[in-house]
Formats: sequence, C-alpha cells, structure tokens
Amino acid sequence: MNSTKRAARLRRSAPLLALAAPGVLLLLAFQYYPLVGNVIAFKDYLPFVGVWESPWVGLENFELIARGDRRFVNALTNTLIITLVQVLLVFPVPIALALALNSMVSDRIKRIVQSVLYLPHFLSWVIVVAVFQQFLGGAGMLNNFLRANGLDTFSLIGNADLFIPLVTSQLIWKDAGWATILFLAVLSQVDTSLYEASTMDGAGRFRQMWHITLPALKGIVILLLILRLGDALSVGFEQIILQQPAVGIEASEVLDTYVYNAGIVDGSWSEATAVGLVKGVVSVLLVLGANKLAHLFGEDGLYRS
Amino acid sequence: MSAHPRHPSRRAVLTTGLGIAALAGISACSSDSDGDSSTSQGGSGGGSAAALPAYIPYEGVEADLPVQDGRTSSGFFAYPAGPATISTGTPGDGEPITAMGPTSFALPPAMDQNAFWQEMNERLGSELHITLTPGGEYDAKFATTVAGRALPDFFHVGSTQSLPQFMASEAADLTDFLSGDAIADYPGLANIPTASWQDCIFDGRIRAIPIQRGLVNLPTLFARQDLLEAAGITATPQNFEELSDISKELTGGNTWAWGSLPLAYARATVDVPSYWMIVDGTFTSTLGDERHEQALEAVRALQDAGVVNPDAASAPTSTRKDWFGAGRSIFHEDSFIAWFSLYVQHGSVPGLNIQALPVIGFDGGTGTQFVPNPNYGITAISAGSADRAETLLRVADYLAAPFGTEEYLFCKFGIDGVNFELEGSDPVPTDAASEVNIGSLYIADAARVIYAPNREAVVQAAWDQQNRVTEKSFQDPTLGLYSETASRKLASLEGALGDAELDIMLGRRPVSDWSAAVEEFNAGGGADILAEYQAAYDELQG
Repeated sequence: MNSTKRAARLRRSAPLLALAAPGVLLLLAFQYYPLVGNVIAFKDYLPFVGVWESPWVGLENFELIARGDRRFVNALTNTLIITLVQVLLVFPVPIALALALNSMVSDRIKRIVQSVLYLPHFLSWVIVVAVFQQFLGGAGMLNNFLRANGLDTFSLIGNADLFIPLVTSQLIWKDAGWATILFLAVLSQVDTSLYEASTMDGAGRFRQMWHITLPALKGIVILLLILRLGDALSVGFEQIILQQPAVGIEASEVLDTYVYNAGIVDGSWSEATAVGLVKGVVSVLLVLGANKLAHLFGEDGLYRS
Repeated sequence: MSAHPRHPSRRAVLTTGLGIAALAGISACSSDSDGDSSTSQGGSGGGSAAALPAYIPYEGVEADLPVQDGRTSSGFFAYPAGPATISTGTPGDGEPITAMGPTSFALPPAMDQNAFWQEMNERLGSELHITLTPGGEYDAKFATTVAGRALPDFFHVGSTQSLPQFMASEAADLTDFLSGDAIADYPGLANIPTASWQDCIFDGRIRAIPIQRGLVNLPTLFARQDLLEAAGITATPQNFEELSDISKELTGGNTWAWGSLPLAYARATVDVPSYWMIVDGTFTSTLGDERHEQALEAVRALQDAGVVNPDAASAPTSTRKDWFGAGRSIFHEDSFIAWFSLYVQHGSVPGLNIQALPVIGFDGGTGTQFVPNPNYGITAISAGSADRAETLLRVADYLAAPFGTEEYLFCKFGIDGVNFELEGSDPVPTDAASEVNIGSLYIADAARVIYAPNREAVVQAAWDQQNRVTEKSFQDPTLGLYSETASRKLASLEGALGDAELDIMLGRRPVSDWSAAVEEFNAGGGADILAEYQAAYDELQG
C-alpha cells in the first residue's frame, strides 16, 4: 500500500524532478564533488602525484592550528577583528538606507537614488580597488594635488593602521546600496493601514518606525545575521588580496588569503586545506548555533527542524 | 618564474593582474632588483655528467667585444649584414602547440591582430597558443595548472615542491635527442653553453631546455643619465650617503628618485648580496650578519626621506619600467638585460640616456656584485606530449636560433617594415615592436649577447659594466645544489622573510625585528636547508 502510494507520488512529481535534475547535477559536480578534495588535508599532497596517490599523514597538517602557528594566528585574529567591525558598522548601513529610501515621498527621486546606490555593486573589486588607489593612493590624485600645493600628503592606502577602516568603507561604498533590496522588499509588504491607524492614535514618525517598521524588519534582520555569522570567517578574498602588497601581510592577512598564500603560492597545499576545512566546520557550527538562538527568540531563523 | 627572486615578496606580486586590467599605477610586484632574473632551483646535480649536451657555438658571426668566461658576454656593435638562414623547412607538424610562461612586459596584441604572431605561426608551421602570466604571479598560476593536470606542451617550470620528482613525473625525457653530440641536430640549442644545461638534468636525464642569460642576468641598477645631467649631477656617487643625497635632490613633484625599494642594491653595497655564501668550503648563511640590518636601515632611511615612489612597494615591474621611461623615477633596479629593452620600450623619449651604476661600497670603494644563475629558468615539454617531443624540440630550436641569424632577427625584432625598420643592418624597433612580446622567448631562447640596435655606445657601456662589476662579484652558491627542504619550504620561508623586509623598509616594523624574522626562518626550515646544501656541496666537491 505504502509503496504504491510512493510510486504514484513519484510518477506525479516526475516532471518536477526532471526539471530539478540539471540543477542538482550541477550542484553535485561543482559543489559536492570538489568537497571530496578536502581529503588532502589528511595527506601529504603533491599536485603532480595526485590526490589519491599522495600518502596519508593523519592529523599532521592540523598541527599548525593546535600549536598556534604565528602566520595562522595572525590571519585568524585579523579575520575576527574585521568580521566584528563589519557586523557592527557595515550590517546596519543598508537598514538605515532602506528606512531612508522608504520614507522618500517622490518616487522619481527614490528610483534615481536607488540606481546610484546599486551601481557600485556591479563593479568588480579590481575596479573598486583601482579607483580608490587612483584617488587616494600615495601617488594618487588627492596626494598629487596636495603635493602640488605644498601641503602635507596623507597616507591612507599603504597605511597598515588604516587598513581595516579602508576595507570597511570600501565595502559600505560598494555593497550597502545593493543590500537594501531585501529590506525594501520587506518594507513594501508592511500593511499601510497600520501606519494610518497609528497616525490616528497620535504616533509620530519616530514612534511609527519603532513600533511598526522595525518589528516588520526583525525577521529578515535575524535571518541575515545568521547568514552573516556563517560567513564570519570569510571577510572577502579579492578585496583584501588586491590590497595586501600595499600594507603588508601582518595587517591584512585573513583566513581566506592565508589559505591562498600558504596553499597555492607557497605550495603548502595540505596545511592550507586543513585550515580551510576547519574554517568550514566552524562556520557550519556557527550557523547551526545562531539558528538555535533565533528559535529561542521566537523567530524562524533559517529553518525549523 | 622558474625560481624565486632573491628577495622575493611574492604576495606583493599577486595583484599584478590589475596592471593588466589597464589600470596603471595600481598594485603589485615589489620583488627587487632582478625583476627579470631569478636564481636557481637547481637541477638534481647527481649523475649528470654523462648526459650533458655538447656545446657547439655558432660560428657564422664574430663578436666586436669578446666573451670572457665569468666576466663578460660577447658584444656586437651592429647586427651582421645579410644574416644567414640556418633552418630548413617548417619545424611544426601543423597541429597547434600550447605553451605557458611568465612575462614582464605588457601583454601583446592578440593573435588575430598581431602580424608578428601570425608570421611566427606561418614560419613554425604550427599555431602557437601561449598563455602568459605576469612574472610575479606565475608561480601561483603554475601551481594551479599542475594541480589541475592541465600542463600545456611547453611549460616554463615554476616554483614547485620536490622538483626532481615533479620533473620525472611531468616532463618528457629529452636525453635521447639532446645528449652529447645528438644536439648537433638542433644548432640553436647547441649554441647554449654547457653550464646552462646543468639545471636541466634530473637524475641523469635531460628534462628541460634552459632559458639562458649568462651574465646579462646580473641584477643591475640603472640611472637616467640624461635626467641626472639635466639636474647638474655629473659625478658618480662614491658611497651610499652620496647616493642618498643625490636621491633627495632628484625628488620633487611627481618625481621620485626611486621606483622601488633598492634592498638588493643596498645589500650589494655592504657585500652581502645573497642569503647564502661559501666561506672556506663551508656553506654558510649570511642572514645573521648585521650588515643585513645595515642595508635594511639604509633603504628604510631612503623611504623615510620620501625619495621612493609611495606606490613602489605595490608596483609591478612593468609599471616601474614605465616610471623610469617617463622620468618619474631616476633610478631603476632591473636585470642587466633590461638595459636594451628599456631603450626599445622608451625609444621615443628624447635624449634618453640609460647608464648602469657601478656597485659602490657603502662607505666608499666597491661593493659586491651578485652573479645569479646563468639561466632565467628552464622550460620543459610535458610528459603527455612526449610523442611530439621531436617536433617540439625543432620549434624550440627555431626559437633559440643564435644571434646573427635571420631567425634570431625575426624572433627578437619581428618583421622588417612592420615591427622594425632596417637602418644599415640594424633593426630599429617601430611602434609595433611590442607585437613580438608573445612570450615565445620563454619557450626557448637564444644564448644571449650584448646588442642594442644602432646604439654602439650602449653596447660598449654595457660590456664595460659587466667587466667592471664582475671584478668583485659573488656567484650564487646554491648553483647546481639541491635541497629537498628548500624545494618544499624555501618559497614560503623566503616569502615570510620578504614580508618582514618590506615591513621594516616601510617603517612598519623596527629594524631590530629582522633578527626575529631570521630566527623564524632558521627554525622553520632554514637550518635544515643550510645543512642539506652543505651536504650537497660536499658531495659535489667529492
């Protein structure tokens, strides 16, 4: 009985399954199959010997994490600092922007502002970094202007102390506008009668925001925070590696660039993979933990089991 | 690059790609003096004698300035008139040939817009598909290509772990074609001196072709003599302090005396041009020598005085060459051979006069010139293409045609009337000269001589410079020695040390941090490397 039911269901869903198949295949081929390569974290991998032929070494490659290798710890510290700064400073910006956009009366101006804000998202980091360099670099426009007028130059790019503020502001400039989309979508769903009713009750704009708009955003904010937490150990590879030479490894190495520099550039494939693997596992745990936390707050989070 | 620059900062070089993104001024390649040159990874050394190819020098030309072993390359004042053609037929088999290599030039026009490239395909009888990567990024590109099992027919050998095993597994065995007198079938390759083939022997088998440079590989400090004279500076500085004073005079506005942090030159002035040295038969590390700190301190002082371009640490070689040509920097560290290509590249600059500075002593006198590996690197034929090895070697042989032949003229200068115009017998580059930079010279290259079209004075000056600096010079002691630990870890260790050097020169860390960085270097494997080099050296001495 049960099996005939199942067969019938399968028949019914066959077209849907067929539709999903290519996507699933892609996912398997390009997301899951490469995961198998992580096995080199437990091997002494030499590229020309091959993944399977390289000898097993057990947990040897993880040793550098356990003993707190200086380069690794440096990368981890930088990553955590940058993540913290980004969650505190970058995350709220699109919310504020969305609120501002939402309160705009003129649709025309709103659309123009939105377009202007979205645009930087479509520039690659290579371009963004180049633009910053051309404007603010040691031999860039600003400093050449200052020099030409006999003023003191100022060192922003190439100044290790200002690296984190620099990457943070670049990130805000590039992506804050784009990130408003989700918030705007949620805001557009808020029932306008709520605002009307609150106006009747004598609520000002601030009260409206506090009691209607922000609660409406709560779900999506928590969802995004959870996702961000899963990414806590990734703070942008391209953006940082492009600017590494200017400020040095000490200030700019993060886990992602560490994996690249140690693994591909320096040839310590296995150790770098070990670090990457640990990073992946920790990220998954963070997401699961955050999801649990969201449930405690009575939110749906990413999913409910 | 087949090997690491002496004082690398490879991370610093990663972003060279930005330059390619046509956004000049950004990023990359601090590297060092020898932007073009490199030091050896060494062949395996052992059991090599039997297989070495014979040296059959091309006798169709006579040099104006003689070659002197260990002191000078040969020099030519003019290109021989009516150059002889030494090849017969087309070497290719009609099938496309793939290759990968580094480049220190801006990318050339694509094949379909590149008359030279098309003519090259025509002459070779096979289409050449070359993947070029900016030199500083080449090792990373190479590593991923190896891991992806995607090596092309010809590959310039980048940095890799366990080189002998790698070569045995991935490079075709060329011994039967090249060993001993067999190489006579390949007159271009036979014109490469034997010393250069040492690097190509792995466990007694020939598995690569050297990209020979000989003494045109010397790390060299160039100066824009025309700009020095315009500034009223005619005397050569006698010590580092004078050099530093001149630098201050030359800096102003958008011009900085230096386009790079001249650590390699500073080290030469204090007589420690290398990390390694052989003292009385003992392989020693110079890293503990306090003269390194002196050199770092000196460069740091230059940086502090604001005489180094603020973007120097992140500028790729190609950008630094541009600065030098545009007069935005007066001093330029490069490989000796760049002398001639700089003239070509900046031929339109009125009154351009490039001279090489002697290696001065820090407090006067003479410093020590570093003499690197005679090869830029080595290029191998993929084991997967071993069945085409003979064809591929013929192509390589064509590309290695000796100076004085018609083939050399074509490979280096391109097509008459397109890439160069003949003045007398000299090919003078035109605006389309950059078309020849397709990277074919990293597949195989002729044995190098000193020659610059229509610039007799430059040839004489260059030959004199070699003669002068090699008087007190110092050969890379790791030549022909192999250390397994070095092959596994040296890249990473030198990378970390290079980072420390950069941080110190830029004033981000105190000079006193150097000893800590050295300690880390030694503890992380430097000490093992030293011991292994010593053992290899002892073995070589018998």
